[in-house]
Amino acid sequence: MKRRVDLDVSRLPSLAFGSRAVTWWGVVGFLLIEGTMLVLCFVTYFYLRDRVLDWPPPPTSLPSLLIPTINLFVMLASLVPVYFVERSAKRLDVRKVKIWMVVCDVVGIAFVTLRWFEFVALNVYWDTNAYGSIVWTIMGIHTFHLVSEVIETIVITAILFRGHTEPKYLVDATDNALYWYFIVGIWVVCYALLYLAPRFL
Amino acid sequence: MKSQVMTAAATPDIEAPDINGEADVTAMHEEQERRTLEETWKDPPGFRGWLTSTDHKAIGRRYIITAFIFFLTGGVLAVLMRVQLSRPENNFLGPDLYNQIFTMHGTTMMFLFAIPVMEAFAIYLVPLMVGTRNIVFPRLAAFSYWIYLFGGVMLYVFFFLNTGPDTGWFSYVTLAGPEFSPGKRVDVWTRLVNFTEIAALAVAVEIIITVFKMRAPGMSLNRIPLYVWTMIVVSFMIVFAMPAMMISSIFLALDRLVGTHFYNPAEGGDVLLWQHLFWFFGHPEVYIIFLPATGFVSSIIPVFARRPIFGYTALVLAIIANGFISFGLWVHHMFATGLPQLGSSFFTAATMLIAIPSGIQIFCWTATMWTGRVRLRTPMLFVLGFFFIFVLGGLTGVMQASVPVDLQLHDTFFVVAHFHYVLIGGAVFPLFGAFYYWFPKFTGRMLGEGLGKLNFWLMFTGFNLAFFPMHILGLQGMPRRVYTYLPETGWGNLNLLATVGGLVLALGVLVFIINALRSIRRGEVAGANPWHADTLEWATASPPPSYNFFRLPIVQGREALWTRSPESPVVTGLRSDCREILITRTMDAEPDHKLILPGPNVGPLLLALAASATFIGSIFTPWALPAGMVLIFIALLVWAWPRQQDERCELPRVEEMTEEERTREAARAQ
Repeated sequence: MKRRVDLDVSRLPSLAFGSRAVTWWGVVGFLLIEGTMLVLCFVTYFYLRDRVLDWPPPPTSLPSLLIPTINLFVMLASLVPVYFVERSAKRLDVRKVKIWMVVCDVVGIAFVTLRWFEFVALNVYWDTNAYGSIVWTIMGIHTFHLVSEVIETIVITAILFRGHTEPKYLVDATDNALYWYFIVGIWVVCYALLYLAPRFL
Repeated sequence: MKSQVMTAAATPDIEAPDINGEADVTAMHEEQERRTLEETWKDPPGFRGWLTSTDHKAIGRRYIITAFIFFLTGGVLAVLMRVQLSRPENNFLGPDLYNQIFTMHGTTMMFLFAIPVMEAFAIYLVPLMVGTRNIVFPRLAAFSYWIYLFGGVMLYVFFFLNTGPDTGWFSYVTLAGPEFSPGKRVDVWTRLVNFTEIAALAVAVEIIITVFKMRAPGMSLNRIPLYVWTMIVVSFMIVFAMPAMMISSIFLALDRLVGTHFYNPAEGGDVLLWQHLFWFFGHPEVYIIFLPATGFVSSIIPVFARRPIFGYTALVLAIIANGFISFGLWVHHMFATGLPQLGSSFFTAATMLIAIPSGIQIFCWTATMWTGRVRLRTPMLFVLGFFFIFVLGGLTGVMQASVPVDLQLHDTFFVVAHFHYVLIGGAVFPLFGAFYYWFPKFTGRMLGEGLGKLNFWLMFTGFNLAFFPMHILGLQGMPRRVYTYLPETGWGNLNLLATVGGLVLALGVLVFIINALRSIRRGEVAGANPWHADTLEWATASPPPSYNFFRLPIVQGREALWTRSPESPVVTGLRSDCREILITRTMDAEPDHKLILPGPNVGPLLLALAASATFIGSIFTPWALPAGMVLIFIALLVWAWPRQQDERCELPRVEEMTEEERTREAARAQ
């Protein structure tokens, strides 16, 4: 029998972070889909803007600025603990991951709570006019993601505290961080569109 | 061979060579290892295994069969319509039922047959073609199937309760809005669309990742089989097109459920917004259905012409070009809405432009056949039928790219003829070719050749008899979507001819079913590679074992099996007692790391049930949404919460590693 030169992969690593990991690609795929949905909502916003003379259409008043601006900074600040979760996870430092995950949970719950008042700050209802419909829908879609992200973070925290500290759950924590970055990043656009744009358009 | 050398050099962790011991000892070890692999990868026994399966072949098979059943129900509806139209002033179906039936026919064929069946084939074939053990997120694939199944069942249950959608498969507002379509019929349609989208998006992401990260070593981007290339492009198209449908149907659902005003001009909304969003999905959709079929054609032609495909690079670029251009065509569905002329001219140009990549594909296939030695077996017959019909459909498409012609033909039977030539010719004929071609891989037995030829000729004749007269009817002014017409119009004879053709077409499909049922039991045993084909799915037994390949192959050329010899190397060192797979790098498919795939789980089924309950509930009350979220959360916990048996194969907990191990693993994982 002729001797074959095979490729032995038994000593390859069993752990990979970032774009080497399939779960990272899974999150990116999800973000592409959700990002496209939100971008289409933004397009709809401008499309509907183009149909009327005044924006927001009278007698609808402008959205309030105070609470949404505070929350914008809370969300931007949340990037700090998320960054540290990611960094300690990649170093397989479980103790620090746990600490920063708890911080993330607290900040997450804080901005979900503030989100309630952001809806109030829109100063319009979804069934008032088409302007109200699109701003509520953008808020709704973003809030859906925000809440599911916070729930996911809490679940991963629970998994780690239940003693499941196999490295693959640390990979999950970094992928979760990627989702978080997306949600905060796209919110900057949503904030500009929902609370600032009506003042200029 | 060059790539093989590079692989070994670039990856110091890989040790070669593996020295085979004495032959019979090896054989014994192999037998033992096959048993372990089977034990590891097989589904749990019985009904529980059926509900929890995460084997891409089981899921793909189910998906194909389910989609085919919906094809049959959609076909029955088509026959009912043809019977109704067979003579003037017929009273077989009333106008209301006719509206429901043509909407159900279009919706079924687009959302429950055409997209799902293409994905179903990909779920089955792509992991085999790229040489891996399963699809990347097997539980997500299972979820995709369940949600698709429940969506389809929901649609038909409502239909039988006389609540079938009745506003056409593209449900234009204002007809579909709350004012002109009270009741629940349109709501059923919007939810069905959501079901299908979720199923399609899940599969699209899986296909992309399976191809990008799980290819067999050596299968660099320029060696990926053309079918797999089409599925990559199609998956990206789904990712960018389906959200438009998602958004437009959510807007419509909200307008109907909670009184938003997206499509209500009285409150600042706009009816054309619907058409823009719908066709921004709807036109790429046509290519989402058509491109996988070109993938079938590109797989079948080289095998039956017995030579490598002509113009591989040109074909890949043409597929990608098709993908891009298809996003710039949507307004040609809206020429009759009075949009600005400059805009219309742009879309006319783009519509004509897409004929170029489609033409490149046709020429490459023709060149392959011309320079090869063609074997006229049934799969090849269907491919030739595809050429004939699709080219005709493409030509009428180019005709309608012209705005004046389009205005004349808009909403006539000419359009019906055109898109059936494109869709049946461009997708259904290649699909039947694919059934004949891959049936031996799916079942281990060949489909009968005699019945196959009969099947083809009945379908081909029936199709042309049914749809060619519609061109003329359209030019004579017969509008589509009318339940009857007057005798004075003189359309009776051609309509009768079309009905006869439709029945012959249906007879052809019946012959296929008989052929399939006979062959599953008594067909000729196929063996691993009955067609002497070139792609990796033929490198393993028919039907493939649960683990797909005993040893993952190493690819040494574009035609993986034609460039392979018994001495060709394979991958060793993957664990057989765990669901371990090999992750490779995106560009050159060099081995990167190993991954444990999740196994059977009831979570996907529960999540699909929870999501279905939410969607169906939301037809009746908005409160179904928050309530459903709780159910969905519970199902996700069942799905994802760690279990002991899942962790047997993983790296140990971080606390159990030494400092040194931790540093090393962390460094290797970056």
